[in-house]
Amino acid sequence: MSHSPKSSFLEEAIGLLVQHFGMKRVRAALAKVAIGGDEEGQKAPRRSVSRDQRPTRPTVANALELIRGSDPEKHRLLSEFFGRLKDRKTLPDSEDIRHFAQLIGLKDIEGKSREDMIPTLMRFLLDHPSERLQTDLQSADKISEQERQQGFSVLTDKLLGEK
Amino acid sequence: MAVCVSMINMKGGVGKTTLATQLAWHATRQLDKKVLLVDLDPQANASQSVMSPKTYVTYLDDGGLTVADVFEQFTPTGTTAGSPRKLDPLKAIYNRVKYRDGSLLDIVPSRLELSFTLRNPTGKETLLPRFVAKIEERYDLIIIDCSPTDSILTDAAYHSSRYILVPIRAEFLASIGFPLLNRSIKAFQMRHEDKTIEVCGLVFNDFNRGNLKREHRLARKDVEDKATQYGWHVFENDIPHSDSYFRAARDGMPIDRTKGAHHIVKTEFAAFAAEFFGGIGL
Repeated sequence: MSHSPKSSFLEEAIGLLVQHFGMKRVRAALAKVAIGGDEEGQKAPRRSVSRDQRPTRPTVANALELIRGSDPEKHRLLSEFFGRLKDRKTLPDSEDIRHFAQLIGLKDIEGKSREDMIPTLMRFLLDHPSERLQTDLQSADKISEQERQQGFSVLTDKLLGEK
Repeated sequence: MAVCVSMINMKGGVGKTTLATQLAWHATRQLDKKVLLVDLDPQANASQSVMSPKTYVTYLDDGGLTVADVFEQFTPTGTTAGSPRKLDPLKAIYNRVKYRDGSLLDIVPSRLELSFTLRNPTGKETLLPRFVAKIEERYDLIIIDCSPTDSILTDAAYHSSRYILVPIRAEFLASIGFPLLNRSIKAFQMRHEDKTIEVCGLVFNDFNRGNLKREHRLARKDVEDKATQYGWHVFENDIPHSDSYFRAARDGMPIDRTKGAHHIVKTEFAAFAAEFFGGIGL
């Protein structure tokens, strides 16, 4: 199978990077720069753009796969979290995601639907410091409309010493 | 050095806490600033709003320090147990959020026990400015949300601040409290000639949009006339009433990220914030 000049150049460039930085660091760097969101959320490419020129944007799942070798613990935590997000077991509403974003330091999370926001959130978390990841992910489970509505009783119980 | 602004009005219910928390959010998120909010009201509404009630209660249960500890740090029976000892200022600061661009929102929470300070206030008014002096280099902006009293707490806020922002409702009882505020500030300035403190302006707050009835118009005119007499600026941008501010308080969210907040509400608040922050050079 013959390679195009572009493919050869890409392989040569990656080979040099791997030689200089090592496979682990190159994979980690790729994971950081390559994620563009879920394929479902992407617009269809214009017909005038040829297949070869089309930018490749890995899905969240692919991006997670890229860090499997370089950071297995982060991969485990985020894969589990991604699964729970998809199943609506955590942050079930778009409002919950907005709240979570303002808790973990994601300043702007655009998109109206929950599905629009998930890739942005996951991309942010992939770049999150490992030492904060576990704590922040745990806090997601405490976010819900019901929790927010309980504020009044929580405070009155505290003030009256009933709990 | 941080710019320090106090929200002061002796009248309760004029929107000091709402304004303080929303301005803190705005400076952090829109202006990318490092912001500290100091809750100087024993009711601790700013703390409950910014931290969320559950987090606030957990923080207290875990022995988190508050502004009450700042005032009572040398009191043998203070809220910090045991002998009086110096307080580590950073231990009284709770980080609400830190963004990757370095901007952040911190809060010094309050608690009901701050009201004990009012019972034995002697010499405590300098403890807050000393606390602020120790931590201000970490911030661009410090906002103090004051309680609606003229007390040791107000004096402490005056001592700590460069500017005072006065939220006011255009209604009779609110407007007659306005000269009391002028007297309080003047009395402080006379007692502390070396201290530079300035009313950066008044903002009309929490009125029905597009429904300026007679009582509102009369009260507004009274306040504007007095402001002119005192040489105090009245901000051009008002903050009309919106129930979305209640939701923002409950959810602990900035108004521009509050579910259901109408575009006009966000725009009005942003216009005021731009005018206000421009006025204090932030």
